[in-house]
Amino acid sequence: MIITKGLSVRFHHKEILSEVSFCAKPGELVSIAGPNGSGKTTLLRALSREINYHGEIELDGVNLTRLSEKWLAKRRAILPQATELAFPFTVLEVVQMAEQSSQSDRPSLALQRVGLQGFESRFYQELSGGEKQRVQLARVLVQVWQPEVDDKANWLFLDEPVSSLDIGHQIEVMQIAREYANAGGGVICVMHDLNLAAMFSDSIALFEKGRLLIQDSPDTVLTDETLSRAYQWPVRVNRKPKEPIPFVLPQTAKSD
Amino acid sequence: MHSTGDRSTRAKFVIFLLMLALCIISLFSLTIGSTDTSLTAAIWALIDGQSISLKEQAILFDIRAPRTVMGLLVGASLAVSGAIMQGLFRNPLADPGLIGVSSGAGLGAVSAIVIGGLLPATILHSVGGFLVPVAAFIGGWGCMLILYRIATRQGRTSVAIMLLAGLALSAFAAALSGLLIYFSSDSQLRNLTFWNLGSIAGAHWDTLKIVGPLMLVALLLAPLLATGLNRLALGEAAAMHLGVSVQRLKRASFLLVGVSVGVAVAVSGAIGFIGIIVPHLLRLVIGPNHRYLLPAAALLGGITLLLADILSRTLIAPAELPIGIVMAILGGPFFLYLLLRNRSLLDL
Repeated sequence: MIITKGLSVRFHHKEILSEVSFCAKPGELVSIAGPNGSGKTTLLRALSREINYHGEIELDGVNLTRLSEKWLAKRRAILPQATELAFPFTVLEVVQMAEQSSQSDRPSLALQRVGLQGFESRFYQELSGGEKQRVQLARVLVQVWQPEVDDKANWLFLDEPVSSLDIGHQIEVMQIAREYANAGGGVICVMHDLNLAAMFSDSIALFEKGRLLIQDSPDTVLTDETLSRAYQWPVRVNRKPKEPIPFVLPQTAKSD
Repeated sequence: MHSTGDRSTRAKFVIFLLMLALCIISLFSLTIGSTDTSLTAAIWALIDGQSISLKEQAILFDIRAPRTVMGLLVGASLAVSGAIMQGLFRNPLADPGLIGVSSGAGLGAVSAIVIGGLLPATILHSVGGFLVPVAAFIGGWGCMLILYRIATRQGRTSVAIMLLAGLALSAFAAALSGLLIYFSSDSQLRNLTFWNLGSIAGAHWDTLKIVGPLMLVALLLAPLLATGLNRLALGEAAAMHLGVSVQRLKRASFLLVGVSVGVAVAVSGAIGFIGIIVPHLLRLVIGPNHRYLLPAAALLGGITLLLADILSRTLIAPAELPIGIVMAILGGPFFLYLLLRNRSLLDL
């Protein structure tokens, strides 16, 4: 379980995150949503210990500052928004970088899982943005291959994992994340697409101007009123008949 | 390209070939020179257990052998340091010069040649003939330490600040060297020019006893950086998330490069090109995986420097060309050729 208590982040006297109490449970997929600049990625970077923060972050009851990078590397993997490489590594070599010990067939399996079998010998730098993103997902999967070890969940932090993907691959990647959570792992995912978040998440944490507005089930979070307030734009939430999953349509004119 | 994307088999094969080449070139280096003594025959005689003349012994063991070992170590150190710097700065054009070692060492050498005579007699006496290399080593290390301190804040070293501060510091060191050169006498000027052109002709067992182990230890420790440098190619944050202690990696890299390049420049002067061209060539053949790149760079660096040294003492025999000139004359056009041939790969 990951819990933040009174988490605040400041950059140059400007508060980017203030007093955030966020929670993610093993076996669940939590989406972080909100408008641009609301603090979504900042929260993920604080959880990843990339930036300084005030307040506390706990992983399974232990303060994050007391854990070593080496130990954390075995427990959680982080997919950044985009990754550029310095040298011409092949796709397989990139995925192999995540292996903790000797070589195994996991890199090939992970590439298969993200739909990139046959790409092993291609140069990473030659790939399209979406393909690169899926190679990185494969690398991240290899890093924390088992969703659960000794009854303790491993974690995936995904920063906009589907932003550069076509709709088919968007669903494919979200399914991989969903399966990881179903197998006992924890997934925290920054999402722009509220409909995908609604389809795949157990809970959605909605941010507005650095504050956590609400964290609850998609059904509770995705309402006309809450979304219109968070995005400062009229938004209508519809429900397909006989299906519980809401879908969101922003209105074309603000005065509507 | 191997169809699986795994280039490790090819890399191991290339390393094996480089080892063979290294042995052959070393034998050449022992047998070729400005003397007409048939040393090849002498070596065979030695292998057969026969005795050889004193003159042959002297040339083989006191001149050629230390020179060959020095060439191998200096070449390997420069090439491996180049590969480490490129991995650390995530840029194939990075060079040990970026962290101030070369310009600092240059300033140290110039100071020793021009104003070294002003030192107290006790110091001059204790360093003896090693004044220039010692001063070069101190200068290189000093410059690098200053740069490291400037770029490190709250326990984190900024590579970008290091790069920019390195430019400023190098320019400053060059200006100080220039100032000293301006006031130097003609004979000092000649010494300076030759130091700048680089040479391993002065290699001696006495020097090698001191600097050899330093370079050898640095070379043997370098492969420990391989995994960290590979992961660093993904960026500092991603490397950290994979469990790399990035700050420790930086510190260890600077230490290794500082020692090897500091020593190499101190004993052989400014020999350029090896640090960039050798890793670059190897990346084209075996890929950028540092686990293979670092040992292969050590081997090819040694081979390259020995080849240049053999040429430098045979081209205008019995006189000798400074090795720096040979390296640049061969290295420049070859590097251009590589650039033009592999333009598409470089655009990646």
